[in-house]
Amino acid sequence: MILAEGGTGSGFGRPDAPVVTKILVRKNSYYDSVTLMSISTKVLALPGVAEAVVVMGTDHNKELLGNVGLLTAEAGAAEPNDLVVALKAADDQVLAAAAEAVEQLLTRRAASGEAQTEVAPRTIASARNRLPEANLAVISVPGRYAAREATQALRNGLHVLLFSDNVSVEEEIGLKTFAAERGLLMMGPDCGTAIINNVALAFANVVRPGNIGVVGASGTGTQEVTSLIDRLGAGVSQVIGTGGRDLSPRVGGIMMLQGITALGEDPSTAVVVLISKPPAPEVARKALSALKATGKPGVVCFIGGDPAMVEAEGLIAASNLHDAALKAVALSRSEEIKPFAWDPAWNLEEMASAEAARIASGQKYLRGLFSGGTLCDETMLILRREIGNIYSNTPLTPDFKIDGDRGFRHSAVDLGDDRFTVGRPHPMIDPTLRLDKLREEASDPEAAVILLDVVIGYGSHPDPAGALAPVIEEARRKAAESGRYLSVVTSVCGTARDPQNLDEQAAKLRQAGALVAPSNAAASRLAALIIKGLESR
Amino acid sequence: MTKKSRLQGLSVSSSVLSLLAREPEGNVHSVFRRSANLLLGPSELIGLVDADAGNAPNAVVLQTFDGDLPGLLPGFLPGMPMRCREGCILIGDGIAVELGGAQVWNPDPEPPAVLRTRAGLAETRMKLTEAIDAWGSEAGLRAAVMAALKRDDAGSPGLGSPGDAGREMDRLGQIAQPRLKRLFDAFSRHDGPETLAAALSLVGLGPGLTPSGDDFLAAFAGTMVLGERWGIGANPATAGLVRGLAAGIRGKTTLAGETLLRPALEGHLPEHLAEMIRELVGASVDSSPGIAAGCTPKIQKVLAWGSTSGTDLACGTLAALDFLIRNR
Repeated sequence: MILAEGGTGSGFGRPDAPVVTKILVRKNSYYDSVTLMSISTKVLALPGVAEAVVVMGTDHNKELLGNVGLLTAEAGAAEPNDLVVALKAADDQVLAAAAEAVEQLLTRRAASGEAQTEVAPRTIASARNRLPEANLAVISVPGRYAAREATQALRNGLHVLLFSDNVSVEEEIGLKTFAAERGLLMMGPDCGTAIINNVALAFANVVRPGNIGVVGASGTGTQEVTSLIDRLGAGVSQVIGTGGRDLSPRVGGIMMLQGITALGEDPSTAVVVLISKPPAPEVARKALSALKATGKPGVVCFIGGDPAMVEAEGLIAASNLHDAALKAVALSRSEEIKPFAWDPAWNLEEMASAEAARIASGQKYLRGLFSGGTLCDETMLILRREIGNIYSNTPLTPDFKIDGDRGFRHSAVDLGDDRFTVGRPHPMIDPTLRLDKLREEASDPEAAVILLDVVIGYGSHPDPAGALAPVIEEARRKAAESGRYLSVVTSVCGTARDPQNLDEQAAKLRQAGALVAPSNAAASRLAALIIKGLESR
Repeated sequence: MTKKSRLQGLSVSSSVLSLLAREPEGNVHSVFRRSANLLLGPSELIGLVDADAGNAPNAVVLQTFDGDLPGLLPGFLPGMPMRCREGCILIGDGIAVELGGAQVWNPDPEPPAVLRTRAGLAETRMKLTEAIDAWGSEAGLRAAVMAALKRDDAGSPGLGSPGDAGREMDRLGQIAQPRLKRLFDAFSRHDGPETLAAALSLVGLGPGLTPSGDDFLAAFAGTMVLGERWGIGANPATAGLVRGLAAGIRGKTTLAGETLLRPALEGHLPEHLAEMIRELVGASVDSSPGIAAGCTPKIQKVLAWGSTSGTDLACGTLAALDFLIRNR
């Protein structure tokens, strides 16, 4: 109810700009402060509204109104328990619209008894009350507060996926110990991938349900294996992320061990897969021993690790991520486990040979530009066996560290490394940096092969191939104009049911002239074969 | 027709219990998402709140409230008559709030077993500053308090460098900052009359049903009272501030503001705020792994309160901590 209304007032903002004011007073009206602040913010956002003050009519608030030229006689007559809404706008039409908006907002609140608007819960406890059947919290807050939020969630009986990084190792140990004592999963910190009860969390793919359980300390490594499992016609039961630091000597694989135990007890899991960079030996021994103790067949992909240690426990070692998927699927179907071999049906040799034949004589180097850190590692391991050591910002050995940002000789750059993600989104989300790097590397007359991973699924860019395609086309065209041939080798990590659609992404890359291999390992092998072809000329 | 319902009180403050023992009559004053206020006589407000809101000197915590689900108080409408009979609050002709099984909450908080040293207080004060900076609302008095607390060359109040002292202030901040500065200067000089005058200039100032100035003053005065009661430090101006505010706030602010401020002057603070203060000044260390991360659960509980209230309350405690540290 509007009890009072002001007239045209003096200028506000620009001294010569005519403005009009209106005062709404509601006698003895009570709205909670969140509501009042919300009304003020919404009305102030209306075009042409210069001022919207929503306060109770105390003497000092009237002084505040006077300070902004809004203390009319009506406002002055308000009492402490009266609600005063003071508006200032460019003209009468705007003012009328603003007043109407205020009335509607206040009326809606009053009619609803303040109770109908959905408000996001502000604490873990209230979120739990809102959704009592929830049993897991995904936490992504600045690192300094992450441990506190995770503790709240654990104390509320929730499993946790902690996406945040910059959590101290002491906090990580504390959280994981705290969780383990309560039989809860503490995935992370810096855990980007999990699939729990068929629900993909953070960066994960739409993978069909099945009987293969995965515990992964590597995000894109886990995505690659689970996507390939799906593409091989099998499915996953649970995918538990641990965070990359879990298998360090200090953390001791607390979450990996708990994940193994959980999958061992899970009746829907028939096969257990472990994915990680090589852990500390004592941690690896504990993990392998725990896996063996489940009595379930296990595949272990310690990327670049020693297979003998795995096989000594009677478990199956995978030589790369694709191999891990193949072996897990075979085990899940009780099929014979075969040593890994590059499938002739992939035509890698033929494709490599054709590409090498088109590459000009001065072109000799491979340049990998990766969004997935584990995929970059896997590539370097495969390439090292085929063409020797690879330079990188995250090299396999320190001697091959790149100085600066540009590729050097044969190189593979992890663009998801902290160095590149300060102040900008991860390249899986925002391809801008990689597109710039792609243009840069492609313009190097010595570059022969560009190797790219394309990671799709939840969390990733909505159309990474669509973003890459025009730049690949442009780079190849410019190379051709200068008498060169640029070979672009890619793979897509994901499934046909991902929002971006594996097949559509692959088609866009092919359309742009890129080769699309069936996995990152296969793409790496293909790139290596092209380089070997060039070296043998 | 109102559906008949019975609500169970989970806990009730001893002061509310005393009030209700007189079997007063009144009406429903206001109804919000997670609480309702009952008005007894001309100026006594009692809050019915959910467990998440916690105990308060004027509150009854209801077991039937379920977090922030909508429709917490079906049937409650402002203006409905209420009366109290035999340990039960009867609202309208269909709602009964049973207090028989409710625990009695004492608004006098227990002192911490061991108090922090001066250095320890400075450390937790910094933690509170960082938490306000990271989690606090940017509206309300935050920027003005931080600016007023900033130590200048003449050695005016403040220890260390409060968070966003350089942040641009809105009009409320521009009005409030010199008043806060006046308050801190007078308080540091132990100038009782000037302290009271400055404090009164903040009563009822700012947005919210409990205006920002009230929130700030409640926490500032309440923290000083508790700090002195617990032997952390004393400021001769506190007693005069408390007496003067108690006598001077009537009619200067909203009923809700007065309901918060008046018991705070006796050290009776809402439970979450009192718990935060105990944590900040007590030497016992919570062993939970989140504590090291900066914003403790108790600080977070306070900062999450309302729109600006939590931040204004935290700022009041922060300012009081400055003075307690200096006298520690």
